[in-house]
Amino acid sequence: MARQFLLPLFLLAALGVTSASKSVLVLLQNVNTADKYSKFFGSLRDYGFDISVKSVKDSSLKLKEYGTWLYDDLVLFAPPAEGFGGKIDRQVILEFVDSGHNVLMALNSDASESMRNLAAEFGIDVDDRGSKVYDHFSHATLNGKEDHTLIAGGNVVDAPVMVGGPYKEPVLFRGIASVIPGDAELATVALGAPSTSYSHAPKQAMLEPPSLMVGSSISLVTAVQARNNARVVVAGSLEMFTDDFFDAVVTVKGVSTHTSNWAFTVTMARWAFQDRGVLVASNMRHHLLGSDEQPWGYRVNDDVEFLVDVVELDGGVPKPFAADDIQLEFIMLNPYIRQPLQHDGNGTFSLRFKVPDVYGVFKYYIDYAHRGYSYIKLTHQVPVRPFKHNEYERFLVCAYPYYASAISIMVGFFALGFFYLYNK
Amino acid sequence: MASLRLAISALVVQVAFSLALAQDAGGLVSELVLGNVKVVIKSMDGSAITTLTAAYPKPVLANPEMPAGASLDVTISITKGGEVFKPQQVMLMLKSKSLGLAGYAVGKFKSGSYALSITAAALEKQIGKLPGEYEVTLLIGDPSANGVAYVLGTVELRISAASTALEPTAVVRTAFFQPVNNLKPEIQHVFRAPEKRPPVVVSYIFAGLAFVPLVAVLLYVPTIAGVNFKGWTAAPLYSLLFHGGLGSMLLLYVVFFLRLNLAQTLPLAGIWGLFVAGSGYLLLSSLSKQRLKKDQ
Repeated sequence: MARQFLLPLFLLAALGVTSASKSVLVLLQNVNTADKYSKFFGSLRDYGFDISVKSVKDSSLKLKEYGTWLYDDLVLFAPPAEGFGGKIDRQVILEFVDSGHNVLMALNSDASESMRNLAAEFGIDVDDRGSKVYDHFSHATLNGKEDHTLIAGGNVVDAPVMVGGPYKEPVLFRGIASVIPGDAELATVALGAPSTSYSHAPKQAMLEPPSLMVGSSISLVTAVQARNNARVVVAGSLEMFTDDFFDAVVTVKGVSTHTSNWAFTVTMARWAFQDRGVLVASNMRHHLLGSDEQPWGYRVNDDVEFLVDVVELDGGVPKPFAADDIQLEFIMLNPYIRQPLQHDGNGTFSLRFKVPDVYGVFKYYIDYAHRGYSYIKLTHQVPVRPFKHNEYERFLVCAYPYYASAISIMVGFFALGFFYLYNK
Repeated sequence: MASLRLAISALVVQVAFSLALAQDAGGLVSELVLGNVKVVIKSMDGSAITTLTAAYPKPVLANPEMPAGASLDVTISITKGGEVFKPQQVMLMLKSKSLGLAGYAVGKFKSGSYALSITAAALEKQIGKLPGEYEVTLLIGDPSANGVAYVLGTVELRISAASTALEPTAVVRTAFFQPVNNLKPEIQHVFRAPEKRPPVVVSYIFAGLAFVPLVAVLLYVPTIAGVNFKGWTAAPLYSLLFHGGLGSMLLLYVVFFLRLNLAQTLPLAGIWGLFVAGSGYLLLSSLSKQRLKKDQ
């Protein structure tokens, strides 16, 4: 039973030194404002992250040196920055994500064109500079001042692994709206605006929908998981990470509440840095029922069992994964079988099935994408042979007349021997 | 004593201040007043199907049907503190009762009042093809006033059959309406049905028929004159060996059919055949010797 943890543990031990403290580079517009986010960075340090804060215009900035990445994660808390100092630019950041590292980006109404273009590279359409999200119905009053751009009615997505449990208190937001296309496969709305909100630049004319970002289709915090499992989170409000918002006591619709910003942002950041919701699938094996060894291939109509161990890593600690929607496909050009795997509560997922009565080269295929968890993609090829000449049915009832005729000839021949030899 | 008086007067000043502030704050956020609310459902050619006059906050739409191509028009005049006011947000929100997705229309200000109009086509551009019951709400809001949400009632929206709009899943993404996983429909392989075989009775009947000639031979042939089983006493050992050998040869055929392969059977058959032939020769020669003796 502990054997299934052996491989992930070995893998973790191999990366042990690097995963012991993951290094994060934080870029701020002004390094002196770092204590505005002291609680946010403090919580991340408590979870084992090694945070370095630098100015976005620092000329000694570099993400990569001699082919190795110096940091594991990048935090961009500088919305108005038009460019980056040192050796960082948009191309390097995209290579950073392509190599499996993560980015957490926060914007606000002063978001520059280059920040908006960077978000667009990840599939997120941020609204124009100067526009704010207004809500005249679900706003909050902070320190006695009623502010219609301080949104307190945002809807948190139902994905505890990504953003944490259901929050009774509101998540405060003040910033810029984004929209993701309806058929986006990799992006998720982590915090959506209430249906009465809209995005508007105060001095300009109001747009018409659908170009006007309005209602619940406004995404306030968007989470993207790329196909290589690198994660990018774009939050439209930089203020939601500040100590002021963490500690604020606001009045929403006459009721005074605290905020859930601390729990929400820290959980979101841990998810973004691949500290939560990472799945490791290992030890994929298959065998004929009744035997333990992994066969070279199957015969048609064989009864087989397929097993795989999936482990979920939370803060580097593996625990068995439990889900009912991992599907296994048995494919030869088209799937012949597509069934969900059953788990035994200990992280071992298995399926028993009968090999189809078509022979050829099949492959096992698992393509698992559940909101908040990393993708699992496994394939394994297995040939399926037809019946051998001696594996067909014998002694069919419809052959009995033939058996009877052969037997009667043999017996008749034997008897005829007697009749022939012993006569006068 | 003096310090106590100082404290009390400070307290009184503080209370007066806060009261004044509260009054001031209350005066800043005043209420918007909605007036002359008219709701018209217009058909495709512009003629009005339903005309209703509404008064905030009573709903007026009792789920009338909006046929394909019809538009829902609302005109409203907004005042604040007695004067005509142009708030920042004047929107009509149609929220689907089935999926909770909402489409919006923005109002245009013309000669003192706002006109809002929404059609099924405009809704399709925002949330895709989604017919059914929609809750109609008028959203009026401004940073300087409390927002007013006036629920006008519900309408039943019909989408034209020729509409080429996409399903809502391909058009809109909200915190509530987005995919959780990529489950695909389950597939169970349907195995080929085994071939139909003739009824078992037929096989048994013909098997029986195959034995009929054997029975006839066994019963009839001994009755033909000339068959005399006393002959085996001429050479009992040889006849035992020959007939036994012949019988075991037939048994070898049966065992070959059941278990052996040709490579195993042919050598055995060859050797045993020689033995049977030898014993048969000996038997025949002793039988013919016996006949010759009898003839003499």
